[in-house]
Amino acid sequence: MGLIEAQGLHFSYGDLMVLEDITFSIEQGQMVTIIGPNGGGKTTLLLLALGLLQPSRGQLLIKGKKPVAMQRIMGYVPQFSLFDPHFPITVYDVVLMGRLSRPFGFYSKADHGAVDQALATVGLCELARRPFSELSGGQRQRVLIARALVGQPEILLLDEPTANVDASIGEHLNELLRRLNQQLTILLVTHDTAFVANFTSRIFCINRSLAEHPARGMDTGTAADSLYGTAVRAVRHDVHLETHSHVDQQGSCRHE
Amino acid sequence: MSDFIAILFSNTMPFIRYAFLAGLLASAAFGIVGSLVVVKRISYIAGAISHAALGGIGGALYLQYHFGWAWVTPIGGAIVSALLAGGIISFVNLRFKQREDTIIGIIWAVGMATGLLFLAKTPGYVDPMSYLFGNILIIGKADLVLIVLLDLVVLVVTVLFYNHFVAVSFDEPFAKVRGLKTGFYQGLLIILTAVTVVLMTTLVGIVMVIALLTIPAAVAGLMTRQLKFMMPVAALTCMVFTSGGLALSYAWDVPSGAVIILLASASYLSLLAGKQVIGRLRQGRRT
Repeated sequence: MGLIEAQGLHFSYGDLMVLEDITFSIEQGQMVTIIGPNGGGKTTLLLLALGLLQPSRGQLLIKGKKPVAMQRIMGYVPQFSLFDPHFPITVYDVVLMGRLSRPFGFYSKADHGAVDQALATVGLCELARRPFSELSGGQRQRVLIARALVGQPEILLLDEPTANVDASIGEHLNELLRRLNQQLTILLVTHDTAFVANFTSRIFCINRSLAEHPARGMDTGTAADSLYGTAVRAVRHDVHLETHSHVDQQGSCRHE
Repeated sequence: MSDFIAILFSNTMPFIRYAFLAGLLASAAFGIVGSLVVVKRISYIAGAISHAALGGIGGALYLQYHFGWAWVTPIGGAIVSALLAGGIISFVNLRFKQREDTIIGIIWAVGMATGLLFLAKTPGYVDPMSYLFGNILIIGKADLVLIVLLDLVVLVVTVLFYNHFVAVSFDEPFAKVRGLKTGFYQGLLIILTAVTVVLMTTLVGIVMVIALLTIPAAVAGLMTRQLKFMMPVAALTCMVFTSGGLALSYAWDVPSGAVIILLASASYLSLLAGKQVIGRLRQGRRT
């Protein structure tokens, strides 16, 4: 059995069906990129895996259990653009939040040690005392990854990590995730083609229902163009849809 | 100014000394709870709760008069109605988030309306204005003890749950994935706000409570970059505003509450403007 298993998963907000009959199985150590148009349900799928939303029908299990019971093995990296940009907090304290577990009280010595380690992993030790609000987009994203890592997760779940981040930083992030993928299973929601083409092991295209596109393993060379063909075109098509709305409905991402 | 200091230590007008002490003591609770309210952006909730308290005050006075229930005190009524308001808001926040601002607006208005209705049907001289602006000059010794108790409660709860309040305020979904019962901490925060607001409303009035909860914290927010420093700075700022306002109101012979509020808001606005100007100048130098 896979690490994450979805069986006939449905989700709707009231009458609005967002996800329909999703079935998949993700093995340990895989890197799954979830792409699809805005409003297609990719973030919803991530929230279901995190146990923050409950399926209307069907099930999604992590190691055979409900996600709510498995949250301690999950590292969640939300979209930072949703945060209050003026919240008075330091980088160090943001990361420390990832060690929160007791119902009240303080952090332990082990918690502080883990923070230093996580900051070293993402290469931000020298910024530990800086206010979170003063960092660049790429730096904030790495802080949030450190916060997810500090709880020693087995699965890392990221929501649009390259939103509001310029391309060179996206490259940097890519490298970091490639490194983390050696130990962790990664689930990543994005509309960014660079992430898809590079090192992902599987591509899920979500537009209410799921279609999986072929992707090469981590050790792919540059000659993979023919194999990437479908996936890359599909993503470009999505970007198109967001900016110009309904231009070309013929793409491998449409599969109702 | 020296007149004011002399008055504080003489026994001719003890009420000024009490008002001064009340201002200093209340600043601790205002600074801590105010900082939480400002970073969580729930000052609107504090407003609704303080107005709901008026409903409880009016109800208590009505019951006292018509049924002779002496044990139903205005402060008791205020606490019951504020906790009720806080409970409703927490529940709505949990279940029907998108309706929250509507519900808050309704509670705000209904609290005022029922309060006024009860007061109108309660003979005797009760001036609704005194509940709006309060009167810091009628504070007695027993009230000071109450404020100290409030400070203790606020301090203990905040120290125990500080990390959790930060997590829930900064990023609620993440806190949930960490296994935190975020609804509990949100509710606790609202109840802590309600208790502070209510107690202070009966002492210094609704308008002053909102002013002292938000303005010192906003000033501290401009000067600090961490919540744990923002709280003490807000408390100190609040002390400066209340004692400075009292001194000015004594010197000019004008209502103390209004002077305190105007002093606080003028300070905030000038600090904000100063910060903007400095920011512009720095940017100008860089380019």
